[in-house]
Amino acid sequence: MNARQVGYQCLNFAMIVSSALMIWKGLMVVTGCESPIVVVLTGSMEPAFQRGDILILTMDINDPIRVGDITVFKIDGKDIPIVHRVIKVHEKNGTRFLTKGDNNPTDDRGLYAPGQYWLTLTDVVGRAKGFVPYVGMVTILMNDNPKFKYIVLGLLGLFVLVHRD
Amino acid sequence: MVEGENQDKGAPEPIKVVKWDGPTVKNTLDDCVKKVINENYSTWKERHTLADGRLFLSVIAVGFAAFALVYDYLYPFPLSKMVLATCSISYFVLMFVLQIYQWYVEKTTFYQAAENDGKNPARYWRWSSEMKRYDDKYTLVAEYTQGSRWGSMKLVKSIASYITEDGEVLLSLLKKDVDYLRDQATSKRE
Repeated sequence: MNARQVGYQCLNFAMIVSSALMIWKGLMVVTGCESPIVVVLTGSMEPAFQRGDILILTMDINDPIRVGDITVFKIDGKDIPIVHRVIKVHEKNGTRFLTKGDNNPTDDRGLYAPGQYWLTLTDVVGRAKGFVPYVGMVTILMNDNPKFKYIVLGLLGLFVLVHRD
Repeated sequence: MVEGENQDKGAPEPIKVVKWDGPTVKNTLDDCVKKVINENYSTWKERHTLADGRLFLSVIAVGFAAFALVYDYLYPFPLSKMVLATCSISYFVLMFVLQIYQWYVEKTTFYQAAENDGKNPARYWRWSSEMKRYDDKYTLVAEYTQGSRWGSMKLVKSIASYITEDGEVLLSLLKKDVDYLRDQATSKRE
């Protein structure tokens, strides 16, 4: 394999990574949301969403939050987004709302930051517009077993680098 | 199937291939044709303009993606929205251009060369090959352009003409056909 072929194999690999990256960034632009695809990690929204479902989010600041909307939000200080339903909304002096998981016995005040009783628009990552069932289990598996993730990615990378079209 | 040849002392390693693996056989035969030409035709110099074109397009595309990545890291979304949109679109446009380039410009070419004997204008050669899936017929095409003249010659032979029972590629037999193609292509007047 001469230098050009090696260069091309590496570029092939870079193009696959870039394609995935550009699709992700493209989705971010189209949905208006910094995290357009999230995986449901817990059963707190059953029976609507099961653990392992993938949610497609959009973010429209001009569409007001209403009771019954399923929002994905982040709490200050925690970096895992939560997917729950809005159960109370106040709009005087800026929008504030309260959420609760369908399958949880109480509202989410126990999850909010200490002293925080309401969520505001800045906490919202997006609203669920569509979902794909089961597919997210792969992500959950890979995150629970990092070795498995590295082996799979390593093998894929190796295959792309060595395979000649 | 052809018989194996006697090896001279100090002869190079025999080239072996798994004779049932179609794509690898085609790639190996292509590499052998290149080897035969580069080692025997002293006035021929290999050119890489097509491969360089492909590399250039790929580098630009990856460049867009890398720029988008860095920009988004430095100025997180939604500040980077316009840059991301532009880079994303440019990337996919370039991917499309690259695909068109591979289908219509590069096609099945695997070797280019410039033949310069000092007297006449340079002859630009383009060798391409094809082999259908699960088929044993290897099609080798030699084309050249010299100023306004051009010539081409095609040869279709079973890979069994060049590869032994054990999967060894016999360069001498391949060289005969490479010489034949070159002579036929240049002798036809266009």
